[in-house]
Amino acid sequence: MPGTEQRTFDAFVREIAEPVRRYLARRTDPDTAEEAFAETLLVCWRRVADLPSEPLPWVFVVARNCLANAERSRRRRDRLVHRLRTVEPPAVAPGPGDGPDHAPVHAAMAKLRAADAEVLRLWAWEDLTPPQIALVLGVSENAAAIRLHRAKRRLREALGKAGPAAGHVGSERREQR
Amino acid sequence: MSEPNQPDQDLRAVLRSADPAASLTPLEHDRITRMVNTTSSQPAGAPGASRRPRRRPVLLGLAGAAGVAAAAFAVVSALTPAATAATRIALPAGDGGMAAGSCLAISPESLAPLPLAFQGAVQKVTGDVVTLEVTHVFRGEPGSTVEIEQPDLTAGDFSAFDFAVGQDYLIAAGDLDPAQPELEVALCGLSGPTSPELRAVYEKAFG
Repeated sequence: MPGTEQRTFDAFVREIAEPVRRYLARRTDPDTAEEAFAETLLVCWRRVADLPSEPLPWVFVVARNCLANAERSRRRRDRLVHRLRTVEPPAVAPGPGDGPDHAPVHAAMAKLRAADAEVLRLWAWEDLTPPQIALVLGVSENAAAIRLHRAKRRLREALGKAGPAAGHVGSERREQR
Repeated sequence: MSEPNQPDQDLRAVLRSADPAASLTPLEHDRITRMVNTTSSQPAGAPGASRRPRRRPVLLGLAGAAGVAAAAFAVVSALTPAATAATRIALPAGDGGMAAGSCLAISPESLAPLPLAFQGAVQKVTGDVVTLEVTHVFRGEPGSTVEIEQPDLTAGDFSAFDFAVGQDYLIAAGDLDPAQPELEVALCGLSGPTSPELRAVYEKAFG
């Protein structure tokens, strides 16, 4: 029944569209995010008969895989584009959250291992609980909780070294030991 | 592990203040309608999606050992992948904790929890190091190139596949030890030469 499937899909997309768009916007450039979002919708449509009742952790996994493939395609394109950029580099508009006020946070996140930064993004930005993080990362709940705990500690340490702008967070390190 | 507590709330507030998506403009209702219509104009369950037939699961180990280990793994150390650097994976000699007979039938459910899965073609074999170019990512961030230290197949029962230059492989890896950052490659046929059957299981598991 295509009509039923389309209605199901429409409701599904309206539920997940903004969380998934934000998920992608936090991890890549706007063009790649848009490409990965369209691909995510396509994957979900192909599985419209199997969509889970609690879609968010599941659809983040779909989006992550689509993003990985979109970025692979982009890197191939960039090999060519790079030669052009050396002649005329494009102006890069700062994105939201990229302002100088947030530089210490981004710098601290950049110092972390990729796995630590990702578990923190899922926790703070996607607002997931450790069990939901476990679903997205494909690990046990216990492993997710331990990773999150360690990642918080490492971020506090990195922020503590980043300067006074984030010093109030670094002062909590004692409790993490 | 307890949350929320004040230090955690403070840390989350700091992170949220730097959220790159904080000012992302939501899509308008009509725009979503157009995207839904465009997407759903394609056939649901298209080739490559979850409805692809999957039969005759590849079974390189022994089946029927229910209640024993669900899958065998070999220890892997994966370095942080970068855009240009290869992800390095090492398979130790020995049986990798796997005993013949501990394998169950391959299923999407066995693969689904694993955080890293990709398809790659062997570019070269130098000594015991196999270099694969990643051609498709099912899950995770393997980077563009992965190096695998090929085990001594005579030293243990390693799911009975060898790497050959030019051959295509499906590789899945998981993190079995939460105390360590290293991943472990899934064996028992969960990783192996690409075949339509194994590919279908991967698509079902990670699609």
